[in-house]
Amino acid sequence: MRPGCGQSRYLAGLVLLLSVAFGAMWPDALSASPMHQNESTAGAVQHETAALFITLASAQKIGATSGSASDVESAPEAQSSTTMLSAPVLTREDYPSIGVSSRSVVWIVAQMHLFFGALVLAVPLFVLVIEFIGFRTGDNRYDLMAHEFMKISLTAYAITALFGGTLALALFALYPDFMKYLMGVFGSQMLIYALLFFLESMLLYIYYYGWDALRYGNRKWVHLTLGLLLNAVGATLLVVVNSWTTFMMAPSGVDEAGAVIGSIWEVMKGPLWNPLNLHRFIANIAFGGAVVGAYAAYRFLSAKNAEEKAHYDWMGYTSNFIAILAFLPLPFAGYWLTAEIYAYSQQMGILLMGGILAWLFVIQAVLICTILVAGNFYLWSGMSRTEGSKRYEWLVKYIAGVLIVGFLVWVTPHNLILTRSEITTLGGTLHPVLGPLGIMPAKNIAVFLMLVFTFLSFQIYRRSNKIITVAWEPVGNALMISIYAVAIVNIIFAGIYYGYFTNTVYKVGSSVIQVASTGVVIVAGIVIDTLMFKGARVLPSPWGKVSNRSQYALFTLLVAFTWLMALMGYVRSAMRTHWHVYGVMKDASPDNFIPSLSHVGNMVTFVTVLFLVFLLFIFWIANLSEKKQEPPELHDLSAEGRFV
Amino acid sequence: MTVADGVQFRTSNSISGEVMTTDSDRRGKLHKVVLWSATLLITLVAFYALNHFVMSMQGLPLNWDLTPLQ
Repeated sequence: MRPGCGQSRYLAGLVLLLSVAFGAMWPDALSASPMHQNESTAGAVQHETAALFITLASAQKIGATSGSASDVESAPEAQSSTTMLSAPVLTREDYPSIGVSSRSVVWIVAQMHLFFGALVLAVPLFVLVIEFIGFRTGDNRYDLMAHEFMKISLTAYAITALFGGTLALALFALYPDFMKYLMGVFGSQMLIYALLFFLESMLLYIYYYGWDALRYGNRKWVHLTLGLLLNAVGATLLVVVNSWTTFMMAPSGVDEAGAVIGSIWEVMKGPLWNPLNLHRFIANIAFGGAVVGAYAAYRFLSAKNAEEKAHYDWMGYTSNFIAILAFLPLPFAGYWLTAEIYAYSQQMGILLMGGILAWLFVIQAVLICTILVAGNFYLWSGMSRTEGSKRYEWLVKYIAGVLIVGFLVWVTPHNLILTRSEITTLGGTLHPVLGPLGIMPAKNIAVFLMLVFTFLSFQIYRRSNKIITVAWEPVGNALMISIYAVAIVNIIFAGIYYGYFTNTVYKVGSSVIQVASTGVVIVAGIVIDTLMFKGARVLPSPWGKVSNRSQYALFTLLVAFTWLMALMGYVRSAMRTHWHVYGVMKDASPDNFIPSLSHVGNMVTFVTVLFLVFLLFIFWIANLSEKKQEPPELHDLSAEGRFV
Repeated sequence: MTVADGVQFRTSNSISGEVMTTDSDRRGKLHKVVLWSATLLITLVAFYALNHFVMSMQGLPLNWDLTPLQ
């Protein structure tokens, strides 16, 4: 490292990251503002380290390699003269043994860190929006709800940091050479990460504890600005973390031997970076919504009076709204990510969708369908709050029918595990009728129709308590119904015709028609309803008048979301097979193989249950903070009747 | 109830059992048919154009009958 270069390198890195943070605030740059979501297994999660990681890092070998990488950034002309270190070639002896599987240890700790990380970085995003709505409308209920959401996030923040620290220790202890290499590649960016982590902590505490002090008038603007900064820093944190993850999957800025040949920016912006950023950003919001929804359900079921029930019913509805609304565009982001994975490495893509990992997509289908059915059921239950819902009740059975048929198509596997006699009976390995349902065109039709009909549930829910009064109501309704009808026909047509009767290129391209058709339904539905609701008569729809059963749908959402995150995080990570960094640094540890599906199932289930246990603790703590013990003297006096 | 109230007015022919409708009722039905046909047509055209647009955008042009050009 050249004398005097340190400060300029760090400043350059800081400017770079701040520009990313500001970019994340623009709607068209959403793809640059992610959050944690899917993660697991030793390899991938080795990047998801917290502050302690940085502290340890600074004591390690930032010097030689990271200095080189950063020098490239601040002084391009010095590139050729800078010494780069290649990725080390490891043997099994390079991995310390602790008697249990290192991968399993890191898998569990990292997944827990990611669950909580996703939560604490997602919740402030929608809290800020809710707070702003409360400020603009003057409705204090929004403010109270936003503050209560933050209470959950704050408790979870401490646990996130604890798991982050534990993860850092585990990684350095169990994968020392790999971590050394990673530190070398990312160098001073790690210190920027530490700085951002401090900023995030400070802003989070000021935002939460300053809530009441900055509640009205111009002070509220100060508070909202703090919230915006908090989210900008949080989004930047995750952009940074994602770059570590995507570097492992699709390294950039390094040569074939793993030596850094580009700037830190080139290392960060790999081909999968933005797709993953977008996917995690959206998924985290959905996950955060599911967690606070479960909290609302927990409080609803334990409420002592009608006022509490009404409050938590409303909170549960809002949470479900956030979770499902964020969930609807998630498949689109998933398609983008998968397409980029295929484009980067067909081998990786085929392993993902056509190899052993493809079986996990069948489980994914079950979980996503569970989410959609639970979300729809919650909306149908909520419709019972108002008499106006009777106009739309007849639609529910058809929506349920589409969801069930879509579910069955989605879970139909392409290849069946058959005995010889079964193959003979069938006349092949594929079932003559069900076989065609096992490939993507059929599943695409099922997925997009389920999304369209889930939006229909949302729409009839919103219309249930309104009598529309605009003169052009018949035109609006005719247009909306026409859009639904044509979009549904278009989705089915594109899936069947291009999927089964044209070449592969058109088959893949036609999925964009389905995405666009679904998008048109959603956007048109929101626009038409917003215009039609102007001056509408609102029917009574008392909060709290909803069945207890509906609250269990919110719990179901949480369990399914959590399981899904753990499962698909594993899938994304396992694509690297026996590589720490795909194509650059081989994994020579005893765990450098794709585990059996049953082992994956057990691990994913274990981390899901563990997270839920911790979450119950958080809910309990949040509840406990509201309880106040009476002073002993007063209590005694009251018991003796001396105050009567 | 009157036609002016916007409520459908029907009388029944006791001999044939046919439902007789008034002129305004017929106009109302015609209006509905025109409305639904027009919205459906507009939507069909919009989605037809959408299909051409999204496929062309990907370098996969279509014929007028939506079959692949390539």
